[in-house]
Amino acid sequence: MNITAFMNLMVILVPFLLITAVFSRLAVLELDLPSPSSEPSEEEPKQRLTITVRESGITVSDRDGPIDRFEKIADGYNYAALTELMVMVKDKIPQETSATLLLEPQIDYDTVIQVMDAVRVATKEQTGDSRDRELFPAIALGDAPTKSSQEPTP
Amino acid sequence: MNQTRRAHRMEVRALKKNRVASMNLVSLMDIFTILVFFLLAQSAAVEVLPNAENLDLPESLATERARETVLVMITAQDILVNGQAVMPTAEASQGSGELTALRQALEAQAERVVKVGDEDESDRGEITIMADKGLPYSLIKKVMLTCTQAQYGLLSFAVMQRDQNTVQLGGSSE
Repeated sequence: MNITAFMNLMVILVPFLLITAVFSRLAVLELDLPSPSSEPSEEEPKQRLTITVRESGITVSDRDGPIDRFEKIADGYNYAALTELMVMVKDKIPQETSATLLLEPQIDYDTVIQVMDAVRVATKEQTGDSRDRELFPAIALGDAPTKSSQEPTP
Repeated sequence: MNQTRRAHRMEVRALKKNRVASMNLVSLMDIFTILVFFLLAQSAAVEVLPNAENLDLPESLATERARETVLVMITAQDILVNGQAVMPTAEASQGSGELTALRQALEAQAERVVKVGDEDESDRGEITIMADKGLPYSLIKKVMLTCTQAQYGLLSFAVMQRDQNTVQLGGSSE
C-alpha cells in the first residue's frame, strides 16, 4: 500500500491547522437596550434593580432606595460580595430578570464586563449548587447620576 | 574461520533485518487523521470573530456563541467597522455625543446588507462590539449611542471565555 501521498498531505495539513487554530474561545454578552424609537430621556419604570458603579465603590438599589453599598477593596471591586447580594435579591424577587447598570464615565470597560458578570450569573462555586444560577441576565447600561444628586448611602 | 563465520552470520541477520524493515505507520496515521479532523472542525467553529492581536478583550463567564453580525472594533488606536479603520480612538474620546464618521460607516454597512423583513425599518440588525478592556466607559457609551442612532437594535460585547476554576481562584479571593 502506497501511503506516501497521504502522509505528505497530513504532514502539511497538521502544522498548518495547528498554527491557524484559535485556542481562546470567544463569546458574546448581549445587552438589553431600549429600542431607539423610544428615547432614553423617557422616565424608566422604577421597579428596576439598579447597580451604580462609581470610582469609590458599588451601590445597589431598587425602587425602595439603596439596598447595600460595597466599598472598593485593595485589589479592585468586590465582585464576589456583589454576586452574594444579587443571589439574595433574586431570592426575594424570583420573577425579575432585568437590571440596570449605571456607570461613571471613567470606569474602564473591563470593570463594566466584570460587574455585568457578577449581576448576570452566580457560579456553582458561589452558590454551592450543582450548576450555575442565572440571576439578572437582561442588563441595560446607563450613566451614573452626578455626585451632587447622589442618593443617600444606607 | 571463527571470525568469518560470525561475520557471515551478522551479514545474514542484517539482510533479514533490511528485508523486514518497513515502518509501521498505522498508529501515526490514526493520530494524524484524528488531529486533522479535530482541527478542521475547530477552525470552522471559531471563524465568526477575528482573532485580534492588538486587542485585549475582557474575560467573562458568558457562554453564548458569536453570530455573524456587523463588527465594531475599538482598539487603543482606531475604531474599525468590519475591519476597516473609520476614525482614531483619540478623536472619538475627545468629542461629545455622536461619532459622525462611525455613523456614516455603519450606515454604509447597513446599505450593503440585504433586508429580509422590510416591515421593521427601525431595526437594522445586530452589532458586536469588540473593545479593549482598558478603555473608559464614556468612549464605549459614545460608540453604543452611535450604534443605536444608526438604527442597530441589538448590541453585544465580545468577550474572552474563561473557565470557572480560574474564576474561583481569581475572583473570590479576598
